[in-house]
Amino acid sequence: MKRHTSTSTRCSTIALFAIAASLCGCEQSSHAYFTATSAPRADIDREIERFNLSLEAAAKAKKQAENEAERKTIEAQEEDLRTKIKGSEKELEALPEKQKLVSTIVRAMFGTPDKPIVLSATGLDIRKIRLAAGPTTADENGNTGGLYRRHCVHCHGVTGNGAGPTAEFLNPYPRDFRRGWFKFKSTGVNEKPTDDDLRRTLHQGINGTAMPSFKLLPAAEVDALVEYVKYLSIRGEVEYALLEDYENCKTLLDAAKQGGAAVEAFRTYVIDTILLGETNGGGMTLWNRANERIVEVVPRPDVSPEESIQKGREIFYGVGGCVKCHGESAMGDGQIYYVNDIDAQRSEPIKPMVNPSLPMQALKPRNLRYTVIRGFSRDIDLYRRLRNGIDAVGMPAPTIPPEQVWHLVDYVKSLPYEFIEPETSQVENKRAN
Amino acid sequence: MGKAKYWSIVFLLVPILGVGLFIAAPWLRMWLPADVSEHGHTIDHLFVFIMYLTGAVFVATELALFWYLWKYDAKSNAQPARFTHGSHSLEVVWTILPAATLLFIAIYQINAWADQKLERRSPLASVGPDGQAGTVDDVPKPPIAEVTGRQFEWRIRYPGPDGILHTRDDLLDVNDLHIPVDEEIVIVIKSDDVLHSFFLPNFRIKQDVVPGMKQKVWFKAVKGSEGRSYDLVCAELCGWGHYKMKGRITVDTASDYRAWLDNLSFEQHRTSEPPPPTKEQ
Repeated sequence: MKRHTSTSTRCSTIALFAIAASLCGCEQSSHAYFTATSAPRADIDREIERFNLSLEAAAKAKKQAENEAERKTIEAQEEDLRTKIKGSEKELEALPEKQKLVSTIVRAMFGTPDKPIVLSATGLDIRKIRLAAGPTTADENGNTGGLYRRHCVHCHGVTGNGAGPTAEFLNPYPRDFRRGWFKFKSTGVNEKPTDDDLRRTLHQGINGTAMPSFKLLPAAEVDALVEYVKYLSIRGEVEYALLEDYENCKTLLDAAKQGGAAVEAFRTYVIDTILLGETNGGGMTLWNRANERIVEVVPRPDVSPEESIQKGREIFYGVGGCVKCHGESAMGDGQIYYVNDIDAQRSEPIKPMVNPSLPMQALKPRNLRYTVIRGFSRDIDLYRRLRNGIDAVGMPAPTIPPEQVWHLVDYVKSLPYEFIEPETSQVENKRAN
Repeated sequence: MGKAKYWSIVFLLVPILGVGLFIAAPWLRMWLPADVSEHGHTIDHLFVFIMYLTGAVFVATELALFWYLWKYDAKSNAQPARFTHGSHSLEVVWTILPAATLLFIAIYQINAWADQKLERRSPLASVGPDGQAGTVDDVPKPPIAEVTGRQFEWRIRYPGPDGILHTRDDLLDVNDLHIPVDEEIVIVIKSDDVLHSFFLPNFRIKQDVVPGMKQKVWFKAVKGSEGRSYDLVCAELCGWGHYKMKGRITVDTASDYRAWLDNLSFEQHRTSEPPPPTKEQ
């Protein structure tokens, strides 16, 4: 009996060691996962796909070409496309090496999403970020940690890439924080959202999408999540910026390895150019100035609601140009219809609107006859959206005076309730007559 | 006499501990949540009544089991077991008794069910031309709000000043339902995606929300519950986030409720916003 017990104890010790060893293994592989940047690969894949589509279109055009000169031009185009494809393929080959270097720098600057580090230059609050990062925890007093994993990770993904396990079932896909593009904000075109904007999104959820409300979370937890979303955004933006500026980065880093003044030069490059850079960098400056870039909301013009709606209607079908995408019927069935970034007719690539690591999803203009408008539907929110457009999805701002935007707000609000005269005068079967 | 028969005492512990746990439950804070609805006591009464009934049968069965284990212990009974083909009259008794009990419960609860689930008895705004309440020409009370279940939140739509849902002046909110105290409340519930269940534990209301169906629930918050918030939860597994599909229902005095609606309306039609506070260093 005694011997039996000792054997089983030994067995369980071995099992414990095995579990511990496997846990360590998990830890290592998950670290690799955190720093792997899958998006650029998919970006390039998609670029090649787009070039191939253009190539097909060109082949078709060549068959229909009427004279030699036209044929020559098309052939030149084809040659150009083939070179581009070759270039992209080369880029794809060089990618693993690039990613390795970039992820090392990113890890040194930001840590991993589980164990974040914050440089003082970012101005982020590490205490808040720590509350949101890492595995979920809870103690007897009801204090919870690992908030991002608890509430967000299944859709937005560990690195904030918007490709968590549930992401592919959603339409629209969850936001990819790493690009730093946000739809619902009070700031101007190409500006970052303010903390209040992000807080409102968490508070209200986004109607018409899968983003739920987190209204009943304690304010401190919402603040922590806002800070963490900013952290993931900035981390991703830096990652993208470094990948884009790889050659420069590598040269500077190689120089820095020799020591001396080059170390300082590399540091300046990473912090000032990449992290704080406005144009090609991580956009930390943009984040920090968001509060100053809130777009002013002008007072409502003093007209009756009916008149305002009428004026809005004129803008919608006239100078506003809304009808081009949202359609004559305002049901989102206009002439311009983006199927994301694959568009063989387009000469220059448009920015990938959705997560490249997920299957493509059509990006449609909204059907404005639905009673649910995506995002918040307070008057002021609609005003800002119609004044600035939605830059993250390519909705342009109408070129009208700021106070006239209120008419458009009133018209859009009235659309779901507008009575539409059924067409009675449709001529049927013309040929029979 | 063998020692093995003492094992039967373990089985005796089942009814003893079972009953003990129920007696201790209110002190262990494991009993029903506070009831703040007018009709809730009928539901609680049915619950307690059925619990006593089944509890008595449970205790009797367990005691009988114990007694047989104790008495017919193999060591102390030399007589071999005898098998029978059963007793016809006994079987008739134990079929008819439960059937009659079930029938009794069905009839006994019929009013509770009708009051809570049937449209005809829903709260009335006014009685029809015949001046009699409870007939078909009565005017039903319009809903105070529409609550839409969605993975994983409750979207709330108030009808606004015109009192009609789905018009231009509707007020929108999420996860935060407010109701006036001491008034008949009618709420329309529906689902945007999958099955949910609209559950107000403190109001003894639970109704599955079925996609494509528009249903109504009604209740009345008793005086004394004003100024407090209670849970609004989902009681039907609706997806991975079911456990946190949680809202809040707040009972207000009539004036607080009006003020709250006014504030909601103000927020919705807001045309300017105070600047965000400057970041403290």
